[in-house]
Amino acid sequence: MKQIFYNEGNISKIFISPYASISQTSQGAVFFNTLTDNSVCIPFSSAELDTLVRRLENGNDYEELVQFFHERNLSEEWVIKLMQVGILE
Amino acid sequence: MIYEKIEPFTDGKFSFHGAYKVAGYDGYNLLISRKGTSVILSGGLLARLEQRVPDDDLKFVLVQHFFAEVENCNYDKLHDAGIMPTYFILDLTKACNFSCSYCFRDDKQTDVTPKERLKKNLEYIRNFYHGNNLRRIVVQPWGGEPLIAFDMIEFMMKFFRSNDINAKVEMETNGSLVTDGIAKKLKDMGISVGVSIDGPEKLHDSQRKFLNGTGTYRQVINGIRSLQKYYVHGIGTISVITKNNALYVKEMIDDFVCNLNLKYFKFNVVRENPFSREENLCPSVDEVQAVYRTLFDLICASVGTENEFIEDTIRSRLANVLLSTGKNCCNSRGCTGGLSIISFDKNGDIFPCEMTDFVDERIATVNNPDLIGQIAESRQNNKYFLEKYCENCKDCPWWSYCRGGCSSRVKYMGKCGQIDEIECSINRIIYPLVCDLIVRDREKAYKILEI
Repeated sequence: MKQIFYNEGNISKIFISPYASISQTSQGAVFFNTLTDNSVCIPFSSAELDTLVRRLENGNDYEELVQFFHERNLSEEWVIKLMQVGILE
Repeated sequence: MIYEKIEPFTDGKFSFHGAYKVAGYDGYNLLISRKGTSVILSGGLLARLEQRVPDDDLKFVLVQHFFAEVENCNYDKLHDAGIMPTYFILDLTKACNFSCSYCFRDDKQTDVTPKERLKKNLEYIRNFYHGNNLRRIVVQPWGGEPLIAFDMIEFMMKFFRSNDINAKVEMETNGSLVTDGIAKKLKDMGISVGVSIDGPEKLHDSQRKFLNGTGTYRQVINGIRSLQKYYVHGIGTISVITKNNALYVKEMIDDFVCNLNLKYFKFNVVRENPFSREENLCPSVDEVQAVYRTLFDLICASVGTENEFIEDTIRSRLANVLLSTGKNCCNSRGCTGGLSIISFDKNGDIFPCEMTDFVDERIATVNNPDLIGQIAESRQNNKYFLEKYCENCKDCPWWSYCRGGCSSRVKYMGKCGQIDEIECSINRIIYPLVCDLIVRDREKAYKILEI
């Protein structure tokens, strides 16, 4: 992941942390914070993971991100969890 | 490049811990935290921070990047490295067919580690690997010249395979003993290879000689050519910078890239040590900084060309600022000798790294199965683990990466507890250059990391 150039226009958006590493496993998508060694596994297919990463490349509004999870029958708690462990910023 | 300090402040439950600011040319600013993380902010966002009125969005980003904390956040989870060795160095032999002018090994010692002892060292690593559920380790066969003990390397590789150990093996060699047959075997065993070469023939031969005093360049080149037949993605080289070749970096790179078709380099600056064959080999601070400035400019100019190359000292500093992943055991979070890296000698004694086998710096022995317990005890009174600090470190933006530099080198200089001034001078020239590049041309910075 790359460093985000934050400005007034994107500071409120959600991005994937430059310190995140992501891998696809049979259990789902594993998000790993390389600074804290925290990880979260979300039951995403590789196609869903690709879509998520693309959405977050240029930042996503929090509400839109929650909606994306809801559409996959995943609660807002997953988004919060990803933020708590420093995967999303 | 000019950097400024932004002082810490508290705003209710939000505590900003201070940062160093590097101003860019397009309104963006790179901020470095005391924990070595970074974030890039526009001028407007930076102004909010400097005026101590960050809104919630900015506070959140600062917390996520370890510049600040709020109650119950994960700030303290970014700890220094604990004791968990994953990089193992095995001394196979003290024998070497070279007598380099700057070598820190005592050339009167020519012992080879007996195979039974090597087996015991490997069994110790195996037990630690499986006992701690490690998934991958790095192993470096070390010497003297490790290829003198080639049969031991083959033995070691068979041991890892038969004991279900996922080991990445990296070897540095003087290259003179590499034949086509040896090169093929090394490649087939999956060993990464770096060859020591100190420049074009005249420069190289002035400091890397056979035991009889004749130059080694021709034999080293033959070894490199043999390796290049099998390592189609390239091999690395290691070059020692002394007063003799410090002024010829461009010529060295031209020779390596254009004549030898190499692209992965590591330049090490020589330090004073009691076993040097020659005195006064150390370049001055100005010369050291000129070496890395030249290297940096050459790397930047090479990006995207057919002569693209990378130098590891610069690459690791760039990765430290951009990625903060702490992957380099020597310079991402200071020296992690004895913590993430350990070295075994022929007696089964364990030291913090391959650069030291001083008895007073021994941290463990294979006769005691509790490796972590032994190291933890040793940390209490072993001079190797002394914090290296000087007055200038207090306000140094690069402190979290450097932390006083190489513990072994200060030991050789008889300066335990003091900083490695050469390492300091290297960091003081490279970090400003890479920070400047990041704010000026982020794409190029990432391209350099991809070389």
